[in-house]
Amino acid sequence: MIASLFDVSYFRGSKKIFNKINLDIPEGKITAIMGPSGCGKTTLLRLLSGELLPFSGKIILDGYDITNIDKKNLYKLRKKIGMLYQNCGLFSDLNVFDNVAFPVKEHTNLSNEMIKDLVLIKLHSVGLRGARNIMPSNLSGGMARRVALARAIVLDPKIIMYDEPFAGLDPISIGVLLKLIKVLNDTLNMTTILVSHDIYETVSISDYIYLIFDGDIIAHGNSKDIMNLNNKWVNQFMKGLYNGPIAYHYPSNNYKNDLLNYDI
Amino acid sequence: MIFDLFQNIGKKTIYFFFRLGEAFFLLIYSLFCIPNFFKSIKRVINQLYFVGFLSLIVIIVSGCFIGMVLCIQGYNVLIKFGAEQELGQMIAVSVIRELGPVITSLLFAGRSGSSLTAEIGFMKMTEQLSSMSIMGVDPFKRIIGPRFWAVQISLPLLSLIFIQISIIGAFFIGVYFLGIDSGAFWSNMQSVIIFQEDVFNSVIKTFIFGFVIAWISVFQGIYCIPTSEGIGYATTNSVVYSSLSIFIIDFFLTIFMYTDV
Repeated sequence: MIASLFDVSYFRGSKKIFNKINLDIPEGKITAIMGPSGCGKTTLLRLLSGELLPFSGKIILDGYDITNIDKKNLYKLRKKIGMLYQNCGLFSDLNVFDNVAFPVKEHTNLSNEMIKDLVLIKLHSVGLRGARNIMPSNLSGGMARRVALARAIVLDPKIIMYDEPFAGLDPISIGVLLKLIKVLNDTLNMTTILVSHDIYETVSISDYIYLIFDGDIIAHGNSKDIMNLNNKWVNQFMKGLYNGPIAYHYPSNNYKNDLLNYDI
Repeated sequence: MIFDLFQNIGKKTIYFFFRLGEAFFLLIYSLFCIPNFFKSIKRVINQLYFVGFLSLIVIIVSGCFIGMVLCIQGYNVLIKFGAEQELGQMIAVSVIRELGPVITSLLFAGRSGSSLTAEIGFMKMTEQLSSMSIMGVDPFKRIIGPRFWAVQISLPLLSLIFIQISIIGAFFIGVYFLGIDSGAFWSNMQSVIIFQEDVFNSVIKTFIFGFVIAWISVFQGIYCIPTSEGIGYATTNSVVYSSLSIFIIDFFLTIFMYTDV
């Protein structure tokens, strides 16, 4: 296992996000973390990358206990991690080429010629070699996500994490991104951690799936097992049913009382 | 009711000390976060352009008009005592000792401090700081360091430019419109200004103000709530806190530098 969570609990204020969860990420596979919006998927990714510290429990990533790691080693470990944020996190003052070249320039002493080749190869792999001089503000959502992906893989990381990579993309961009995630995982032998609530896209490429709801892992297994699991929570989420144990409405008072008595 | 009041006071006190602690750690980190010279020199120069050079026009125009206004008002007072030839001395003392450092710093806090806060806040909102950190690049060293040092370098220089422009503005109004003798203007100024005391103290003041502006602006940007409203709030706070700090610190520095108390 390349990453493991042991009895990890996390609270935001007084709100419980995770309650002693345990999770293992196998090396070289695509592991998906799924669940309804607001269940803590992104928080889990931030815990795994050491951006957030759990209140209790232990997180092991590539042999390091990141709940007990100094800054120097954390940054050293992060050089082996690529992360694709939902907002892409592209540097707005750098063009596409410089965005992708950024980690290379920061962490290596390669010549400009080599950096140029490396960046162009990565941009070509995401189909955006021709967009190298465009500023991030002029990119579409799908293109920005592909640039962020090129930047995330430019140093050939051991682990790559995707935070909602398909959110807000058109079907063609989703198809391209799905193919890229799969190809990159297989060809570069990366470990992929994919956080998403897009069921069909995620299930189609994942080797293993964890389903999170209300601070707990409610199911885990390979795609086939999860799809066929006889569990009302899992069924509701995987089939997108309106009625079920996962409430659509945020907890509230009686509807009629609110309509009659609620003062603005 | 009373319990709620105490709870509220307690919460706010804890929050205040929490923020103070955060600010203290940022200060310590900024002080020891001297960027790698060869890798950062380009970034520092880049920031010098944005925070320093682009503030130049504001500083020059303000300096010129403040010098001219000061000259007219000073002339109106001094002429009552027949001491209008002392105008150069009055202008130099007030501009070099007080107005130069204080007004330059206030303008700088409004123009560059607020833009630093907004820029860092926007980087936080769009996850640029997080993505930098996840790439194994310390955002403090990469983002904060160059900005911090650019402010420290540019503010004293801008203040010196402000002082010179003010004196030149006052000279033109005083000599060519109010009829002050040009020789008296410069010689009275020369006789009263001691370089090591006045100019050096003025530079020290701006250096301290620059430090405070950089600290507050960067802190407000880094710890802002990453929403458009949060960035707006942080930007306002940055200007307000910087301006108030400048006035308060200036008072104590003036006591320390120019009195025997």
